[in-house]
Amino acid sequence: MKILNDLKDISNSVATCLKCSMCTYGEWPDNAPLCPIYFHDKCFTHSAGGFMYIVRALLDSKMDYNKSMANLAFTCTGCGACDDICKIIPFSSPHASPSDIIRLLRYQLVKRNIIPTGKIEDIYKRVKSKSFFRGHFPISRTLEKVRNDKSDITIFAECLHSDKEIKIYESAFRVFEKMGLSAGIFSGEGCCGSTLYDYGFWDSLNEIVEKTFKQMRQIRGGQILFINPHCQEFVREVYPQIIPEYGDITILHISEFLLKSLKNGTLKAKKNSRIKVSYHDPCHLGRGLGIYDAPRILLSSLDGVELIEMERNRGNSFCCGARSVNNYFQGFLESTAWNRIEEFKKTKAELLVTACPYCKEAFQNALGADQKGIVLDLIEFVDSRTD
Amino acid sequence: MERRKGFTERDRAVVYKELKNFIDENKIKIDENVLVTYAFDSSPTPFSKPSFVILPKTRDEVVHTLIIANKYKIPVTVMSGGINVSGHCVPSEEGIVLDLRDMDRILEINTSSNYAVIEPGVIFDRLTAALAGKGYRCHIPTAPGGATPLGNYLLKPSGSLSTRHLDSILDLEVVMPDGTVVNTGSSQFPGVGNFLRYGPLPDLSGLFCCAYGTLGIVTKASIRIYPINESTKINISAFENYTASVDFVKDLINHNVCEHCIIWSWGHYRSYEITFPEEMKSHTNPTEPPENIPYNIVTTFISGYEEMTTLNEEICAKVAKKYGGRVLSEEEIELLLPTAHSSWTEFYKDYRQPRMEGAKKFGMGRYLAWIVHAEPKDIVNLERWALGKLHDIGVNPICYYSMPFDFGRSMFFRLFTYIKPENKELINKAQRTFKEMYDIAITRYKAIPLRYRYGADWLGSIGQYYNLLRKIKNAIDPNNILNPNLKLFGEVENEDSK
Repeated sequence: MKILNDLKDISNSVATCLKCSMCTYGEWPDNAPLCPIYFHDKCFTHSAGGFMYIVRALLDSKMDYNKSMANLAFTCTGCGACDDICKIIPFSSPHASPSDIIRLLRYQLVKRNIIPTGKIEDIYKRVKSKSFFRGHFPISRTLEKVRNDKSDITIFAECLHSDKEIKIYESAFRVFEKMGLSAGIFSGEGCCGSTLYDYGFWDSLNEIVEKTFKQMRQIRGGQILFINPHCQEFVREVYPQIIPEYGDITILHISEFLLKSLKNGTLKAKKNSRIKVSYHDPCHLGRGLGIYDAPRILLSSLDGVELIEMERNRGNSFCCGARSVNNYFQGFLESTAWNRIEEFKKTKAELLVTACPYCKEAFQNALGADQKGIVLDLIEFVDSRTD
Repeated sequence: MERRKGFTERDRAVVYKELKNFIDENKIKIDENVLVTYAFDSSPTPFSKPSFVILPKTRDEVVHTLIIANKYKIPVTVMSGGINVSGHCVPSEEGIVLDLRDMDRILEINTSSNYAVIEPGVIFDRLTAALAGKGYRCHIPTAPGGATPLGNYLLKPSGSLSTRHLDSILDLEVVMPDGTVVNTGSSQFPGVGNFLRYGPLPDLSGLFCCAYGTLGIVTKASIRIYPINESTKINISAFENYTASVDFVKDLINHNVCEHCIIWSWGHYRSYEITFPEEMKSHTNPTEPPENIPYNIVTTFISGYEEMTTLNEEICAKVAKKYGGRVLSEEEIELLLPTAHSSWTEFYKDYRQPRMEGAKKFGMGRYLAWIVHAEPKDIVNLERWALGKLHDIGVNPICYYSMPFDFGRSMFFRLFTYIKPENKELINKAQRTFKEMYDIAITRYKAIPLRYRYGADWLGSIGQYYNLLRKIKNAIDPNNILNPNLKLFGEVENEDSK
């Protein structure tokens, strides 16, 4: 699908919505609740179908863009569960998925300066002042050893933006050291564009993608590994749409690389105590990139680890809520994370392992200081159980 | 019938305050975005924005909503799951939408007496899964799995068991416009369960079927369920004309061979396949299928003990031959209709609605349908005429499916098409044609519409039946608050008012 820019482009698609609300739940017979906003407040409007009808109303001039619409549009977590289920909306040209259409709606709202207060307003200001493109964290300060030019592996780390994430990246570099590999870090202008894409800041998108891609092409030899699946999915899916010559860059998620390393003996699991672990599928790693097995096999291959599945897993996984950037519903972020944490607790596992920095942060924020230790990123966990 | 006229902001605030006394504020939606998404559907019914969308969790919340609505003469439009392709749930301007999707409990699955008691918001996918877990099944319509059994059964649908049964409703709990609660079946007797529809007095369940929420709001129902048999088989036979297909299904029913049959037009069964949009470009005439594509496919569902189903499968082949048809081989099925076959397997053998893969054809455009019932002798003449009427206006694709109801006393016939939403002119033309076709179908082919649709012309022609219905409506809902936007009552002059 080409990046859309006008609601008229998808007028045929939205008009085919049957209001069946099947975009909100998973496959029969489990019919697992999947849409975080719908199951927070069960109402047709709070489903992908609801957004299709909002767009139809806009196209038919039955309503105007408004702040409440922006609040709702930015509350959607973008988990993509609806994209996996609905085959009707994407059927007609330009084959846009429900999530594509929700992103397009956000773009139209941003274009009209109808922005919810809070995080999005902050991004809006930073995009306007260009500071968004300068990165958020002095990576070189903490990862001084890292050099791009002579490394075996390059980690794509443009959106490294918090202390919590730094720990994940540090773990990654320790693991590479154990394997005797030199790793470089790719961190150019601050954002690969995925955040801008998800949140509708599309006017700046081409510029940043072209710039980033130019730098990516200079990376010699080594593989590019992603820790953040949001960035990886964006680079894989959207870069080729913006950059016609894209195609010769190989990218991998770090879980796939570590699994390969464990299998070929480059990475060695160490003897360890028994532990019960449950794995949360990040939406963009699972639904987005189709990577469900690598993290699971990796976890199960570590000594002493017993992997216990949550009730909703793989394509039926429930979002942590991290990418929702607005509270159209009071307490939505916390309750979404808690919905999943409760499910984790039912497994009686000791650790909740995930493979996305956003998920980790969402769960830890919900759990608070006392309990946040039960959540780890996959790489941190691998680091703690390998020699 | 008198109804409130106009609604000031002050009125709205007063009503809102009163509603909040009985219903959780979060369940009363006044956000513009919510109101707008409930103001229209995919039918031609005009956009009409309500003042409130209420999502009750309990029957008491429905009762209080109706009492308040009646007090202020505010129109109330009810929906159970919200799938709308016919405009039955488009609300009145400034009215109240009662969306019952959150009343979604399966209250009882009675495997001793073969009935289930459900709330209106229960969807098919949940019910069929719960029933399958107990070795049971229910009537499954061609509506998606997100549709509600209650909403669907109240419309007397076609579906997996309609060859033998007209509908699945046994006993209803209905909230009337004045807030009183009525039980229509056996549960009207104190302490008695919901197992029986018919009692010593007239059948009141029937009053609320095909009433589209204009006479009362159903908050609970008991429905027929059926045990899953030891063996199930699907016979797939091909015929080169509709008359032969109808003769085939009548013969099977008359000899108790099958549980259910559906006749599929080539345009319909082919529409499941990915190559169909390309194919239909060069085959616009619905009576002329492409080479090697059978005109009709008939799916026959057989169930029972293994010995019975094996024998009945052989009988199907014999009867197909008798009417010039043939049973499709596995290779032909794989070649002609792999996706359709997989959907039918889910429908008949898993006792549930097909997965989304089978529904993606709805993405071809705006779905427009025309549905009638007629006696078998008449329906065979109607088929070619109906196809020709649509073909004449340039609609493409043209699809239908047809099935016997009530042991073949009548044949159900649903003709439909998908039109690109941008082609508004053709959509309007098709809608006008459908309206005209109902009138001709009644007079020429003795066919009757299955459902009332907004603005139906035939309403004025049903004489004393309609007058009696109006009298009942007047007695039940004197303020005409229940779904007045449907224009089922209030648009047509009755005998009394002349």
